[in-house]
Amino acid sequence: MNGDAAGREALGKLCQAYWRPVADFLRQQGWKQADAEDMTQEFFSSLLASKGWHRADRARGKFRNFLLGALMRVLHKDREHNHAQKRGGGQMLASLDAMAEEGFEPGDWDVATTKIFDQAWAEQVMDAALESLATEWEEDGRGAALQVLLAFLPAGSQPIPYEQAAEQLGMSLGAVKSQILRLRQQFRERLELQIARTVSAPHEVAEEMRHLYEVLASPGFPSETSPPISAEY
Amino acid sequence: MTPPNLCISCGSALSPGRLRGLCPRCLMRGAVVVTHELDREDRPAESFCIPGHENLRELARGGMGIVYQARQIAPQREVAIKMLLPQSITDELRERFRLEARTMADLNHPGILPLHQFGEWAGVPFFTMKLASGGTLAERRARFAGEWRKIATLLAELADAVAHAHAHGVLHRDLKPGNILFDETDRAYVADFGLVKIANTDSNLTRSIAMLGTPQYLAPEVAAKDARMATVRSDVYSLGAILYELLAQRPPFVAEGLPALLREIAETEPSPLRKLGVPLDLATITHTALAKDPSRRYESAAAFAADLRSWLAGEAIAARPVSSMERVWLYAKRHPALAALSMLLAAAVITGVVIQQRANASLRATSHQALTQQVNAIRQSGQWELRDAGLEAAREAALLGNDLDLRSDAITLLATPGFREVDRRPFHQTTWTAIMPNGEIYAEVQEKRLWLRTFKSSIPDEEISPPDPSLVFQEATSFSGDGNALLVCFEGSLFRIWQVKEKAWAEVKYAGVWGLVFSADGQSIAYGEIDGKMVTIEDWRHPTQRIRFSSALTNPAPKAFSPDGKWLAIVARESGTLEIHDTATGETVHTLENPRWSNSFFPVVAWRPDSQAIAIGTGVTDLFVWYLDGPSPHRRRFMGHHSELQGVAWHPSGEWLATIGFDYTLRLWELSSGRTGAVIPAFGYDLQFSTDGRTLLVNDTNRHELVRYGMTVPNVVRHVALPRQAPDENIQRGPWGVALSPDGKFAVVGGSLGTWILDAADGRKLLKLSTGLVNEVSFAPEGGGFWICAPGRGIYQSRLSAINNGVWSVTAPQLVWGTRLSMARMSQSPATGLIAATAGDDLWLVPTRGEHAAAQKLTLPGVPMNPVKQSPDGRWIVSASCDNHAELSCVWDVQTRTLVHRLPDTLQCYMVFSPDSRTLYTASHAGLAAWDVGTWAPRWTRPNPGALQVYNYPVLSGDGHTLAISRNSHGVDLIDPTTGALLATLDHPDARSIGWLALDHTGSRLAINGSQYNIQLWDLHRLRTSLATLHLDWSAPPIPAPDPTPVQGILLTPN
Repeated sequence: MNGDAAGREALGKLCQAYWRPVADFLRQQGWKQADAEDMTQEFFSSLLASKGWHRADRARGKFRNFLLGALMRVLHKDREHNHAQKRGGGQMLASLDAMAEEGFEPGDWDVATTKIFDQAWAEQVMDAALESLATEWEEDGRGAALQVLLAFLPAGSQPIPYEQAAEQLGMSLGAVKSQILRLRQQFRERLELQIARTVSAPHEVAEEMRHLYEVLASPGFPSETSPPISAEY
Repeated sequence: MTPPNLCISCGSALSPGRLRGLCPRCLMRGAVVVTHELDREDRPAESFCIPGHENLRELARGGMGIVYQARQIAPQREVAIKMLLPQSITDELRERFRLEARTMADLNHPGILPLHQFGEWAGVPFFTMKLASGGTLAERRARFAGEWRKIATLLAELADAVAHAHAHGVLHRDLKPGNILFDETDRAYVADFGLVKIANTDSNLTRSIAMLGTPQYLAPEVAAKDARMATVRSDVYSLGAILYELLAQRPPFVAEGLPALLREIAETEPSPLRKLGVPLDLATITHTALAKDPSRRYESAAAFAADLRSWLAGEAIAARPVSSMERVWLYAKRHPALAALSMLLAAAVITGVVIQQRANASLRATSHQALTQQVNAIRQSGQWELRDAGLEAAREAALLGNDLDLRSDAITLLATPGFREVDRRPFHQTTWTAIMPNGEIYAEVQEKRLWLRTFKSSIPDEEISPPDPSLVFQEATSFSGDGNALLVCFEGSLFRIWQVKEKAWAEVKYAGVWGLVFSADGQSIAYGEIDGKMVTIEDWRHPTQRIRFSSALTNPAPKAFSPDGKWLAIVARESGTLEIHDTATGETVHTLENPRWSNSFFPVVAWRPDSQAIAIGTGVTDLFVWYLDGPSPHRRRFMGHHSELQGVAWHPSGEWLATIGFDYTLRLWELSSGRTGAVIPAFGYDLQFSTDGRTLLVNDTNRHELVRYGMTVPNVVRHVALPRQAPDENIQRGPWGVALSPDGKFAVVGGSLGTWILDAADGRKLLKLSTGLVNEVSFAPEGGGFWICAPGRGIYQSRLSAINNGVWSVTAPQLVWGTRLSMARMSQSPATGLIAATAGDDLWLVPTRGEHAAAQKLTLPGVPMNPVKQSPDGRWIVSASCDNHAELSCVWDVQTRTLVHRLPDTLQCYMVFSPDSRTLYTASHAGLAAWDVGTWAPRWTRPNPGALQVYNYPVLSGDGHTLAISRNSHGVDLIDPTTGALLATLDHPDARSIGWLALDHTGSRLAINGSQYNIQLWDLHRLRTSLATLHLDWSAPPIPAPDPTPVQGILLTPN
């Protein structure tokens, strides 16, 4: 049916957004780079071919949960089958189809696993936002300015004094600050845009943004000794 | 394994090859810092905000869109927000969505859901519209069962709305019960213009069959072919289908599956409605609208509506031609007597006239209601940008009918400043632009050349050459207050001064210093030492004349001279402290501590034009205003910005402030109420009012434009802020007494810090009398002076007289009656010169003429309350006291010194006598009343406006024509003193309470004091003149204009 095709296409787009986080997650789980990428590719193509995608729910966080569930399931099956036979695509498809029939229990995996996956996702979203922003600046011929200003994009970061940046760019102090503010604003907009592509309704963008913030701010990411984020405000 | 790279800022591990080596955590914070949206702990976890809205919840979701209910912050109202679902966004859909929003914006009709806002959020387009919370017609269908008239009325209204859309070239194409929404008052709206077609366009947008409306209500020609076949008559068909469904309680066609349904629509006729008992004509109208052949349907929605109204009025309908006999019979049925007498009249003509008149009357009522609501919404919003539109709507509404609410809304709008963008001028380089205080000329560096430019195109730009060819221009930093000196920065942080009139560079050069500011007169310049603590103030024309002093701050940066030149405000980057130094001695006068959260923002500072207050933004989201005119500085906080402040400027009147924040908004504040009057998207550091206060210039460094905003300063009311005593603003109350001179020239205000004499025309503080705490002031009706009631000290008198050329003299207050008693209120009779005063627990009669006889004490029954009034003829005194737990107003005969009457129902009573001593007005828990003096019978009564709104303090103009009375915390009512009719309500921004009122002799000026040391000075003559131009004045003899001779000054003379 037509609706199925459109739905599958939409899911395909969504999967693209999650391709990198899945690969990163597998890397974190101890897979070698090439294996992790192979596995990711196979996972997504199987997922799209399987009946499993019908169970995908875009609602905030649920899709990530669904994806992680599916991934954990095939990883589990993969381990089982590796003892007996060589891994094959058919096997993974079957596993995902079975999941479509049986469903899966959220929380089959531990909190730490979810966190690793969420962090991989967070970095992916930020990376995509940053790259699209950088591309735009570079295409506009402002690449050189970006080189200088990029270092100011993170909060609290002042790699060189503003005055020095102003000198490097041939701008006044006020103009440099203005540019930095614009850059941050644009970055935030890009971030929201990236997030908007992965949620089911607009109101979930803010929720996901908040989740993103929490994922990155949570103690233990990436070092237990990180200072609290809110100290500045 | 090698250790990961760590972020030097937060210690987090960096991901190699990702995020261009930046720390993910700090990046996230950088994004969040922009609006501070996520770090607010008070935000509910589930919150989702599009800008300016809060508390969303999902109302409905379709295949491509979603509708939320939300609360808009300003104006405060519930709205519906429609957005596209992010994953379904395509270019075509986005374009269609914009079309829908534009269509709704263009269609201004009471039957079409009004659009409020259109925008994009996180890449998702949205628009906000009126929230219709009463459900859809689909949900309400059953309520209409058998209600033929109700159905016809509803459909006529809907057809009006559709006709309005058609008149604007818009076809709806998806009319169905689910798209008819009701608000909480059961008013119906046509909604969902998601499938609109703009007539005479044939864009791809209209072609896709996938977007077609619900088949059951589709016209056969559209259902059979495609959407391009849609015409006005297909919308008429859809209206007919809705009508059919309400009459029959089922859609005209029902079939299993889409193909069968389409066949039904194309080929079969709906079941006749007559079988269901629907009146013949109504059924005829329905079937006509549902004709398969479009040419047999009504030619327009308006014709459909007209026929429904004909049926409702019992007239002949157009749908089914009726015989002339039947037409006459219909007419006779409506007007039996008239019909008998007018056999010869052409019935059709009469019918036509009747229809026309009824249609006009209903149109007028609807338009009036819509316009009135619009005016009220604008008034409630408090948005300055909308003021002019609101007044225009009020004028239109007034032409259809003048009512009290409309008048009061218009008065509030007249008292509100107007604000609008006038123009934008691009500037070229991303540097600072210096703006001259007159707002006409600005200086900017463009490609290393310095230009003086003006907004007037007739005046060419002037280029300024550098003093030395080796110097390269960096930026134009600032103009002096007189506009004659321009501070210019060259590369290498060297500063020089360009003398604008002389067209020459001054000798002085500044290097190694910062924070260079001019004094308001342009004579002096101040600067701070980089890497030191020294500050210098010097005459830049004669740099040897200078003083140098040390600041407690590190790297002190002078920010602003006070306009009177006496003080210099100094800040430092690393601190929230504001130092105020005496410019003559360098001495630190005040050290004002402010919170500071972020060091990345340099504090911004601006002096109030009277040099008595200073505003500072320190790197927190709030603005602080320090009042320096009291015994000790105290601070008021203005909250509204979501991020740090970048600039602040005072309006020359000192009544308003403009701020610009890192949250990309420009805000205008009303000082007296603390309310934000306008919030406008803007970004920049530099903003400045012109000296006449009619222009605000903002240097928008984001868009590289110099933006000019026009401000309309209201001329019907002035706000005056008086010094306060206590730093704790929450317990501060007062002032306690206010009086206007009979000629309306002076307002005298008494409070805890003394007594001020103000120019009642412009609110200027002319003189302060050191009287200590004052409870009441009152002018003698004949003018010439005023009395001051000072608790614990007694009653004082000051004489006021004109000397010449607008200069006046006032005598130092002279003691008339000394007493150590606590004194509350007093009242003087011009006839006898006797003052009645409540002091201690008694009422005292104090002679003020001839030999100073001893004051006489009258013992009040029970516990005396404060208020007391004496009739102008000196015969009566009314006082309030509390007897046996009941408060009463007691009437005393002055001659016999006896209690002669107790007024009923006068708990918590304040009162005033008419100038002819024939009427007493009282305000009490029962409301406002006018009593006939002598018989003490009520002339009229007027209940309090509401349970929580009671009348407080009545005042009468000296001529007895204007009665004003405060309603606690809700403003002041103007009442017709002869009938008690309400004439108008004046809004007061002080939500806590209103203190006392005063009127001059003719009622041209009204003074109102708020509890927060704010005085409002209304010009009622101007107010009525302005209302008259809006057709909103009330019928009463005009108030004469106050004497326009300005007060030049006032001299204090000894007795």
